[in-house]
Amino acid sequence: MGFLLVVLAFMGCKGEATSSSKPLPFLGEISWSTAADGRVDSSVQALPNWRLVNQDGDSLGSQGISGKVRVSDFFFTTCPTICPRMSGQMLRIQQKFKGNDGLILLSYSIDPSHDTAEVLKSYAEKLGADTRQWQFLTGAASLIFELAAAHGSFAEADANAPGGFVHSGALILSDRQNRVRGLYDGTNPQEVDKLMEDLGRLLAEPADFGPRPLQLEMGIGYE
Amino acid sequence: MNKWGLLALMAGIVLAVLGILWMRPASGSIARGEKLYAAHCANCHGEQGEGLAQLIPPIQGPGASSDADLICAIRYGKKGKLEVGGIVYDEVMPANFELDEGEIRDLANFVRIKLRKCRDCKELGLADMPVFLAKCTLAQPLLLSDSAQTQY
Repeated sequence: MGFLLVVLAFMGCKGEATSSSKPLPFLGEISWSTAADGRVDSSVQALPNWRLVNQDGDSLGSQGISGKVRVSDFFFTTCPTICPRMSGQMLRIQQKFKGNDGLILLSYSIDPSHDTAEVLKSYAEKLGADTRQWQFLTGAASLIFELAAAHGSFAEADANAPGGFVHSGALILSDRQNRVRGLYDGTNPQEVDKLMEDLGRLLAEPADFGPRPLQLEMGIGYE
Repeated sequence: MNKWGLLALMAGIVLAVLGILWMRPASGSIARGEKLYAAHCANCHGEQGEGLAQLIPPIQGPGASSDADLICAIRYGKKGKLEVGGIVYDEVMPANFELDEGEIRDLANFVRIKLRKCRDCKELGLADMPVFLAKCTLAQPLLLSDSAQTQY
């Protein structure tokens, strides 16, 4: 019988904890187990699969973009505070990695009742986003809020907050196997510089590197 | 007085004038406005007022708004199409009813003089604000009612 060792590792860590020679940390709960033959297995929580609607009104499942490094943020189009700054930084990332098929940018709207596919399409066009590489997503609010939490981010409706929502300004970097590898302040250009450096390292990393991804079981709307 | 003495005297006069200008107490309006800009405006309009693509208009450079439009926009926000530098913008700018007239003056002074690098612009005073604001409430009654109904 093997034993299970659960370690809460790297929670709250950011990419700056690593040097360019070290791999990026895996954020979340890492489990180790040893089989009867002495072989050690490790696994880490991976982001849940989902099915949402994109800016073109098409149904998009996360499994359809598997194998790509992702940069994600949680925003809304009428946000009167930090969202334009976050979108501007996402745009910087797209400009730097333009045409790279190994990367996808995902912007999840936390205000799906207002941010319909049509609204998201207009926002993307005005921003100058290339939607072949940058998808704007909408779906049930409860699902999006759960997804934000699963990313280590935060989003919630709050009638007293500017625009009616409170949310994190984090840009979340996850690898080819949907494991979160870094959270960066999306309102700070220097942090986004670091994200882009780390993103380059993830793109060069072998896909099977590190602990086995452990898929989270989530509720309705997930695949 | 020889040539070198005359040069030293002139250099001394220049330095004294520069020193007086340097020591002259500033009103503090622009410095306060800079902090207000960072807190209330920079997220959308950018650190230098450059705007964001075709989503958020710049507030400096060609096509920048007049003083009156700037002050009205700070207080009451903006809604509807706005053309700046050949680009038509159509996002809603929230009102800022939480800012008092002194803060609006400071913000406007920072944008006009520092962000737009206007050397000929004089600082607006507190007494100027009611004059500007009275005109924009008459010119933009729809914005007033729209802003009041918008929860930001």
